[in-house]
Amino acid sequence: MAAPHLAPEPATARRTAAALAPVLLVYAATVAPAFLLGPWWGLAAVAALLAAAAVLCRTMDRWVLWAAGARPVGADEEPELHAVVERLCLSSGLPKPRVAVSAAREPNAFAAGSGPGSAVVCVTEGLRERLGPAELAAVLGHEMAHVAGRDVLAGCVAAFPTLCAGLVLDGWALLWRGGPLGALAAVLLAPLAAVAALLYGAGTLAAMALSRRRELRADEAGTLLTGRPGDLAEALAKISARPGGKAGAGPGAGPAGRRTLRPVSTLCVVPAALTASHPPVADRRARLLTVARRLAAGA
Amino acid sequence: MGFLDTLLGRSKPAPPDLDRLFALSTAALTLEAAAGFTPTGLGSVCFRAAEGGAFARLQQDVQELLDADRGPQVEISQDSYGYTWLLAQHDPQDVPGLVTDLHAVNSTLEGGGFGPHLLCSLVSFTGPERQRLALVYLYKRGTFYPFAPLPGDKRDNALEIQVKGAVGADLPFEDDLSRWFPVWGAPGL
Repeated sequence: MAAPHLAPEPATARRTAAALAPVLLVYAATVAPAFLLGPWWGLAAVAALLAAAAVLCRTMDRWVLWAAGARPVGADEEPELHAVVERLCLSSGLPKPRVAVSAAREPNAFAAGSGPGSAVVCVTEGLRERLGPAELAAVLGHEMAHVAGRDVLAGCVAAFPTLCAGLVLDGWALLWRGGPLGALAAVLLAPLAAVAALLYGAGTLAAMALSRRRELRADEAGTLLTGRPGDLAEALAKISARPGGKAGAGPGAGPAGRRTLRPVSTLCVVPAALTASHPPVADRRARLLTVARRLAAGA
Repeated sequence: MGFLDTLLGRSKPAPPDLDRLFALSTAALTLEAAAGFTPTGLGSVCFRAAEGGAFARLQQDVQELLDADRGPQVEISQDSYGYTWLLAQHDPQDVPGLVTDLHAVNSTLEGGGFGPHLLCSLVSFTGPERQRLALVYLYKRGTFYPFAPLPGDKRDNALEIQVKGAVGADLPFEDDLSRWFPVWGAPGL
């Protein structure tokens, strides 16, 4: 029997395409300078970009895992995590994605890949420490909804410029700690860092329109998958409560703890760096609690 | 026809065919003849209990429905992942009766709009050397697969393949082996 669950909504596909337009502009902006060197250089840059994009679509999951410092885990290593994912597959009819764990301390999760057949869902150690099994299932349900909605690829394509820029920025920030020699290198590489910062900002802005909507949609679909909006609301509250106690705090709160996931921020269940890529957690919780009340009332 | 529509159970183009469950009666006979596996009389339905009053009432309805009918043993339990299992018990020889109960639970939940919350149904068997085996019905796919747990969270893959060979013609089998999800901790296994 064909799995009807995997059919993408045409309207959604159109909206996703529209939301990807600014992302394509970011990609175009990265090759545009090559045209200043001459038309052939420009065309070569476009060809290189297209080739890179083709390779990227197939290897996106590995890139994202690498950037997040995550590794795939087998069912023998993490039987419980796999069991949670398998139950979600049973109730959604989706093929089982690969499961990965990131050593990051910050509680977060993301899904990556180019479609339901090649998806990977990843949780951090910090997430597993903080959440109970039901809340973990709710967060993984949200990620599975990303996989089912086929927006993992769109999300990854949108996140890629930010991912690269984020990695460059992280490396550059590390140079400052490398003594006088490192500082010298950092000063010399400042223009590169400036370009990366610009790309990071533009990439995040471009990914914003896409990811804000897809987050809300994944909240909703993930909730329908588990039937427990309260669990997801609870999980979001726990994740966004920073160690300092400031819920949804800006980039100032605990930057060291959130450094590792910054490159893949727009893919995460709650943003790792800039809150702008996601609707505020308070809004998402309010929506979820409305659904919970509706269920409680028996409507 | 969107993902949400499917999840919400609106306008399904290919609705899960619960009547396929009845094929289990034939499969049980074949399995006994071909491999010496006998039914244990235990079967269960797994679903994700939604939050809230509507689902609680429905769960009660299901239990009443089964309790009213000849008083079979029906037990509700929760597994460690937060899923609910309804365990039905019958005379080991009465596989059709057991399957009818499982069908009733499934269709009551489906009729109550909770089809998206149904995971699977299973009927369990024991082998000549007391091996444990379940035939699992995947609600979302309308297909069956075998699950043979061994002590220590391992699976007897050889036995599962053997069972597919034995009853593959009686049941719509799940072709995608990666969807033969283990159901650890299923009651009645």
